[in-house]
Parts: sequence; structure tokens; C-alpha cells
Amino acid sequence: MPTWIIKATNRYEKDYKDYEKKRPNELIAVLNNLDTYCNALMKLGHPLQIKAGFIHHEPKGIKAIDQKGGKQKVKLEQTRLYMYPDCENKILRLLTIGNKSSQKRDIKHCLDNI
Amino acid sequence: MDREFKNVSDMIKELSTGQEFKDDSLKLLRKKKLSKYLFFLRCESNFTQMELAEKLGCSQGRISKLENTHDESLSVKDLLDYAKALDLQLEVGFRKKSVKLTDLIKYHVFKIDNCLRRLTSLAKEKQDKAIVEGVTKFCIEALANISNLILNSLVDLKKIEQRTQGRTVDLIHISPPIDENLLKKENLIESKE
Repeated sequence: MPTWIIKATNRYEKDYKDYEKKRPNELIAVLNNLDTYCNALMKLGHPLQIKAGFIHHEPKGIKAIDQKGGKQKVKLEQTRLYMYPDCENKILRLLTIGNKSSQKRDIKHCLDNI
Repeated sequence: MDREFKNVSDMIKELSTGQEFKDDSLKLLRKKKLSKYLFFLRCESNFTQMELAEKLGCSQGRISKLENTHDESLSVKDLLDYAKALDLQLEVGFRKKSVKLTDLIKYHVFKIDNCLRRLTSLAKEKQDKAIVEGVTKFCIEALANISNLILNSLVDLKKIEQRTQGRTVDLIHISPPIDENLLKKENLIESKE
């Protein structure tokens, strides 16, 4: 079974750097959930089998991973890491990171870029 | 140009600008290996957290916590409960940190050898035609699969070797079929007419 690879878009890289500076706790929390998701995806081979509370299903197969389960001592802002699992080519495309207020714009960006 | 990564740890190493952030994130991932594995096992068995909670007689919140806790907070009972609910057998192993990857492969080869011997003696013991046929079929399949795994590694190594030597030659060169018309055109062979 061919393994999945992760592809980070330019926009994602920019968002990653912004979050690292401004919201590191939120970024660590979503990255931890992304790692859990990726580990399962590599072993299972298909995203449909992965069921968790931190995964949100957006239109056209786009998925959003949130910050749930992060540091308990600090109040974390609602954060979403948007991604698109391209099952045909086994590529997990990381598209953008945003918060609740940018949700609409972020989803539109994802829809335009898949 | 989109950058590619093999896993999230590699991505963190590449994209993070601050050393402290990088260390903290990687440390967290390392501390949750076992809980992430529990998550995978549940998904593999096609259970939701709620369904597994019902099987274990606990709350969904408890499952969620187990799948996101630090490994040191997991108890053997938690692992046994998970195994029971998912119809699995818990196996615990220890190995020296200094064990090399090559030693690990050798260890697994010995394990495979041991299992194959058990399988063969089972066939010998039962003297049943169907069992003998089944074991034989399995051994042939295993031979093909294991050979294929080793061959894949050798192919990868050959590619690396060629890349380091600055050559990009295919491992196996297959010539195109000889085009007779082309050869005639170039006067390399005599025309029959």
C-alpha cells in the first residue's frame, strides 16, 4: 500500500509561522491532533475510517482539525487547520489555519484551491 | 511550490522558526505515542468513541481522554480494557535502547522462523491434506512478500547510489523493439525486394 505524503501550501506555511508567533499553544494543539490523524491515515490508508471529535467535515471532502485536547491550563482560542485528503494520489494537502472569525473566508479559500 | 513531508514531526522540524516551539511540539508528540496508537486501533475496528465507551461501560469523555493523554498516564488496565473491547490480545515487550535497526530486523527474522516452524509442525502433526496445502500456499505467499520487501529496499538503495554518483540510469534497461522500416531507411539492413 503506497504511503500518504503531506504537502504544505504556501498559504499554510505563512499561517503556520503567524500562529507560531501569535498563538503557539493553539498551534501545538492542532498539530498534535494532525499527528494523530496522520498516523492513523498512514496505517489505515483511507480517511473515511478515521472518526474523532476533533475532525470537522467541510464541503467537498475538506476536513478541519481543531484544537481540542490541548493544554488544559490555558484557555485556547477556537482554531481550525484545514486540509484536503486527495485519496487518488495519496496526498494530504494542508491548506490553511484560521480561527472562528475567519472560518467562512478559510473554507472559501480551501474550496478555490482543491 | 508546495513542500512535501513524510510525517508531522518532519514538518514541525522544517517549518518552525523558534527552537523552543519546535522542542515543545516534538516532545508532546513523543509523549503521546501510545495514546495515538489506541486512537488508530479504535478507528481500525470501525468504532466511534461512543460505541467503544458503551462496550467498555464508561463515558465517551473517558475514551477521548485516553486517546489524548500522555503515555505515562495510561495504566495497564486501560490497555487491557481497550484490547478486550477491540477483541485484541495485549502484548508487552522490552528491548534495550542500544539495539540497532539491523539487530531488530534479525530479531524479527528469528521470530518469523519460529512461527513458520510451528506452522510446519502443525501440518506435520495433523497429517491433513487441506492443512498441508494451506501451509504450503502460505509459505509461498510469504516467500514472495518477504522477497519483494527486500527487493524494494535494494532498488531504493541502488537509486540513492546512482544519485550520489550523479547518474540517473534506470535499473533495468529495456530496449525498444527493432523497427525494421527504420533500419531499412538507414541502410542498415538490406531490403528483401
